[in-house]
Amino acid sequence: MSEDRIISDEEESLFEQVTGKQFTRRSFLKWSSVLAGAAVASGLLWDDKLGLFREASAQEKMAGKGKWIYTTCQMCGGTCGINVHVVDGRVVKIEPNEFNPVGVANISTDFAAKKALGGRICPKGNSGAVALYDPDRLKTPMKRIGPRDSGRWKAISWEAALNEVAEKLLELRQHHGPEALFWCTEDSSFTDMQSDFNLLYGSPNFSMHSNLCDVARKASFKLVMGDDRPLVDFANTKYALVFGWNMLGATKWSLLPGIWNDGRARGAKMVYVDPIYSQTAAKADEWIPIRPGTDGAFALALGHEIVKNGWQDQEFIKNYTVGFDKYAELVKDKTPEWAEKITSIPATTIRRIAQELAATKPALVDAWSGPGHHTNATDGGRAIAMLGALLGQYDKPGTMISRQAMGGKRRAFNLDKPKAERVDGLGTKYPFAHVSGIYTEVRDAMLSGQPYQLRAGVFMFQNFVMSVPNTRKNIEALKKLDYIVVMDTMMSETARLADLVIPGSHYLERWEVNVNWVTFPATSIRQPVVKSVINGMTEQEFILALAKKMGLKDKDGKSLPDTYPEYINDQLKNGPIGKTLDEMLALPGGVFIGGATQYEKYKKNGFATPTKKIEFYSEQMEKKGLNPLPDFVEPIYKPTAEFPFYLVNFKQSEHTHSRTFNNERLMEMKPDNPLLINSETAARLGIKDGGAIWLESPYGKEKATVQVTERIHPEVVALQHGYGHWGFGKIARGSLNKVNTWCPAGTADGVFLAGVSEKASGMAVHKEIGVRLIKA
Amino acid sequence: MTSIAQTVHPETVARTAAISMACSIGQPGVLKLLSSMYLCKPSRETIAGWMSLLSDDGMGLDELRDALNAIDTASDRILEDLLWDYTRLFIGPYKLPCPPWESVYRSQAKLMMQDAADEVRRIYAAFGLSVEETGVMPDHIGIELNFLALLYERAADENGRQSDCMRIDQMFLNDHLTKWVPQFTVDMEMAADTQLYKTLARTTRNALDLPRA
Repeated sequence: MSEDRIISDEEESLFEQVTGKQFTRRSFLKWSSVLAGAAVASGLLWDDKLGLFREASAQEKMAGKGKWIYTTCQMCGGTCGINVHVVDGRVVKIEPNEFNPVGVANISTDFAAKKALGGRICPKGNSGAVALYDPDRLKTPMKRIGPRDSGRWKAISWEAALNEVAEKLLELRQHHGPEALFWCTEDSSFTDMQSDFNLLYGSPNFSMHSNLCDVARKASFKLVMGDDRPLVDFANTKYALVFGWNMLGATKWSLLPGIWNDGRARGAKMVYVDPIYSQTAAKADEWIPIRPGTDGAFALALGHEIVKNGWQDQEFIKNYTVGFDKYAELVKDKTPEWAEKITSIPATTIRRIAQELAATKPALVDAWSGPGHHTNATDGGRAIAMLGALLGQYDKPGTMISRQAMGGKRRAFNLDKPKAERVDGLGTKYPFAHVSGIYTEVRDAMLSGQPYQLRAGVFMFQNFVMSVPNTRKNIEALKKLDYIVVMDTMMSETARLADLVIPGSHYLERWEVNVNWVTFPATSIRQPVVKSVINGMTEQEFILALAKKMGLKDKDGKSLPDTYPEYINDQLKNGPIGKTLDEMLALPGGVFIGGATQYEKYKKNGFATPTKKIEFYSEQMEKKGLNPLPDFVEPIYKPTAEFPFYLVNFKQSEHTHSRTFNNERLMEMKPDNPLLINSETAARLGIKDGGAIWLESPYGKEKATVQVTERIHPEVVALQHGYGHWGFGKIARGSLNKVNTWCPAGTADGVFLAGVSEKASGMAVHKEIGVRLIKA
Repeated sequence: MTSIAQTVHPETVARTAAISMACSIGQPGVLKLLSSMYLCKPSRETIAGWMSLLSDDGMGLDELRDALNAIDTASDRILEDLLWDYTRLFIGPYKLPCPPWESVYRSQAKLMMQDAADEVRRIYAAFGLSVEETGVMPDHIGIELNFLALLYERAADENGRQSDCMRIDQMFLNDHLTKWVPQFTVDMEMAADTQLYKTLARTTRNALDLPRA
């Protein structure tokens, strides 16, 4: 303003408050931000603070100082180590952290030998800074104006958001009981603290990610050999039979391509089973295209051949397993010819593979979500897991190895068990379900109000609408809730339905402890390398502040600590690692290594099943009314005359779930999501490459682009998971797609699905539906 | 500072002088007003504040004054529409049609906090200043306009160092505001639903004497 204008008292005091300087007319004019006249007195930045400039500190005047900071990636849940170059508080480069084994090797001796060569990160990890500095990030809490899905929002302060959520949740608990709250979260994201929040609040309905990922695999291996996530030792194997796990093309732990290359260099052979010729199939010695959902039949026929020819490891079976005779009886008629009809794999191929597998040691048999996303997944997975048991190939170099881990010790609370049962049938309707819950059941409970009505939902970094199968039902279900809070870095289809949207942090802005997925104890620290770009609270800070505001305490008056670093410091210090957070950070790469890979641990401890042995026959399943033997049952939603093709989904390493689709660096690699159709099928139907087509199931109908290829089973069509956004950023909605005008965001897979879960594990069924193709 | 001064473009000198003449509240005042309109949400109070500054005639800001005068501040609905327009344009939650940061316009990847943010921060530091408000990035349109205003003020205020300040402001206009504000204001003018924000876009461009991109 001009020099002679009148400066109000209010401006004076504001000036002093902001600058910390004593007011003088000169200093005011010289230093203050001097927003226009009355705006200074009244008005209002996003968070109502004033003062644009102050005197730069000596440090700020020295530009260009950079440093490298070790932390862990969270573009997916893989927790790979990264080393971030930060210059003047800005991330300029992300490199691998070779001290973290997740980017190097999963066997301790291999890790020691290889780490000097450096670690690895994937395309997502390399694009981390794009997500950090994405201008479409949510920047401040926003409250919806008008009816749900009105699309109008009002920016509110963090304090106002905290007050609102606290008030709503307390009111909910008072009027409807704590169980009326459903809270869900993505994985590797302070799930410990969120779980504690729900315990203290009293709601049993806390869900995490795995139910949408790999819980059928978890249930299968756990039922057979007592470990829900044994890990592959590709580097030291001679023969790998892998079912439906594109570990080279949809890489989660970036060590995977390296350890497969190492194994291959030492002469390992891989047979890869999948309806889709993935990058892993390309690097295998043999690709076995299989009908979706029939992996169990293939595994049983392999078992048949092994037992018929007496190739099993009799000594191992005698000492470490139960129920072999009943298994032998089961597979007696599971001939390769029987399996050929079901799987479409020639009987001669099945015989040959059985022979190769039995004759080569060490060998490993593994499976992931290919067989795992079907209505018969737990039994199929058990049949697969039993092949390793038949041949004595567990917990030895080059086989499937049980992991040893050292984490933190969780804070103990003195609380009564929640009065209400979970709505989703975890442990009851789904007797072998994982602690992550059963999403389709939660969704159905929202719709039916049974066993009781859920009334509020908190969705943490979890795009429920796009992630749970049957998109239409998901939307209807969320509309039944009275109150929805979404915490995420970006708007999403779920956030559009929310009452309150709270900005999430990026992983380079927050703390966490990662217990790494390698066979030996390795625990790494995720730390903030920059301050919040949006100047916001982290989710952790928000939840802790919320717990405090709501006065959540246990019966002894114990509550959550004030800060998350304090929370994890306690966990680390009081747990088996016994180090403080600072001591952890001082370790090379911020990674604690707690020992070497150990083999044949079962010789000392047995297996962690009820019988302490590998269970070919499962009494615990029998007790729950399930088949104790892994007999083959046809998938429920297999194709029909009306919907004659199998539709499956698949993933690729440039994306995680549905959440990375607004990242330009990642989307420019594949802006469209064409439907893969076998060339023979396409020719028969007169379908052309690059054209539009309608894809229809009993549950949905959408347009897609066609990609004619040899890379898929002739009876199967496939879509990559995660595309098809309409409520996410511009890039996710298809701005880079220059070809396909009829569905520029790419076709979503979830709309075609029935939206059910597998009966034993509760795994969401993502890959099982019949579809028809209609010319567009 | 000497090295920065070498980038001065002679045209800028004439241009800045012309703007100063045109505005009776003074060039720094105009820039601070615009800065405030980008940084502050519209409300009864802020609108009254902005209007009080524009009450005099002959300031070269007639269009902006008319747009403010046309707002019926008694109407909650109109104020809500204005606030939603501001929110949608500069805060979110959706894809921002005119992200108010130089980095987004000038970086290849269209991201926040890229080289431009670093450059302006260094210029502020060279001038002994740092952005106080941690909720606003250094290359926000409101911060850049405010900084330019401070440069003009100092140029007038400190006779001894006038030449230095003039060099910085010319450089700052040339190397920063000129490089992105034309496109930013076009995007904003197209995306804004309300007359106020369409006019603010045009007025910003005119006040800096920048062409339409």
